[in-house]
Parts: sequence; C-alpha cells; structure tokens
Amino acid sequence: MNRRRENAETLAAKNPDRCRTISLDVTRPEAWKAAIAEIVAAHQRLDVLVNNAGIHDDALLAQIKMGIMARRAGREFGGVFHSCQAVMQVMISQRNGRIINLASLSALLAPPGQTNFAAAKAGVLALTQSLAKEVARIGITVNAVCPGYLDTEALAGLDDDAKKRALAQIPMRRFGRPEEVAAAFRFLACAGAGYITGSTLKIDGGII
Amino acid sequence: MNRRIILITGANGALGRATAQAFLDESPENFV
Repeated sequence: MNRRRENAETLAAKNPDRCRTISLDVTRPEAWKAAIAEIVAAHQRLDVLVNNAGIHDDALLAQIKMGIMARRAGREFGGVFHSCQAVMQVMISQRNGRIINLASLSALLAPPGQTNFAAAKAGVLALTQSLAKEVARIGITVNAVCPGYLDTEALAGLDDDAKKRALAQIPMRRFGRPEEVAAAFRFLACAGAGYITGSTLKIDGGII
Repeated sequence: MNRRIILITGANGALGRATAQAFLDESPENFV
C-alpha cells in the first residue's frame, strides 16, 4: 500500500459504516465498469460522481516525450470520459445524478509548461458542457470546477521563489485550501444546485 | 435527506480527502 492509498484507508477506517475505498485505474474503461457494477450491487444506486483524480507532470512542450503526453491525456481527459460513460446507465435509470469534474484554471488561462495538462483540462471543460446538454432533460447535472493554486501536493514541486511569484498573481495573496474546493463540490451536488449544469466554477482567489 | 451514494476519484490526495470529509460531514446519510 502506498502512502496516498493509506491516507484514504485511514479516512475509511474512521467511518466504517459510511466510507470505503475502491482500487480503480481511472484510465481503464473496464476498471470503471467493474467499479460501478460493484457500487450498484452494494447500494443499488450512484448519486454523485466527483472526478477529482489527476496529477501534475509539467514540462516544456519541446521536452515532453510522446509516451508522457499520451499518459497525461489518458489520465486527465480519458479518465473523465471513461467515468462519465461508466455512470451513465445507472444515472439515466435513476433519472437523477450529479457529475462534477475537476478541471483547472490552466484550462482557462494556460501557463507555459502545461501544454499537455492545460489542453487535457480544456477538454474536460468541453466534455462537461457537451454532456450537460445531452443529459439535462433526464435530471443529471454535469459541472466543472477550475481551481487555481491550492495548498496541496501540487504546490510541493514549487520552490520558494516560484511560490512567491504564484502568490503575487493571486489578488487574495494566499493559496486556496482544499476545503474551499471541496465546499464547491458539495454545493454542486446539493439539491439547491439542481438548475446549474454545464457550468464552470473557478476558485482562484480572483486571478481571473 | 435521503441516503446518497457518492464516488470520489483521487480520494487519497489532499483535495480528495477534503472532498470525502465534506460529504461525510454534510449528512450522516451520505455514503462515500
């Protein structure tokens, strides 16, 4: 078990009756099919999908190897595509569902060094808007969230100077907290957000 | 609120954990 899996297991252990983990390679459609089948077998439904998985692997375009580019696209865009396809049948049968896709501010304001990441996340926004229109009539909403700089593992790769430059871009002069994005996920999944679909919510301390 | 079943990918990282916790805190009926 790696460290990051261990963190999720710890949360599940604290909430044994309300939380469990599933091993899932988000890039594999067959893995998604099996995971959704497992969830539906256990609970007979799936109400909310939060596509949060993703990693940074920034590099200048001239230095990106084709294999890395393909893996990035597969994970950041393909994972969202496969997940949405996998949950469609159960959400359509329920005539209800909430899908929330994690994109990035980079999809709206692409910085250098993120040609693959920013393009993949822009694809997630387009997928979100298109799918939202496809399923709006059957009670399923699809929205995207675009965080800016968050105080998470994504910042760990920045040195102090890079962090200072990043902070200088943020009108609020601080990095976002994970809980502040989680609150947006929760809002988009709540009953009161039932008329919001195909939307992109940026959470960036006022950058754009 | 009725029981809701919520699937979060990447729940091992800081954002995923915060999201899972947010849904757990929202209602005792939520299953993450």
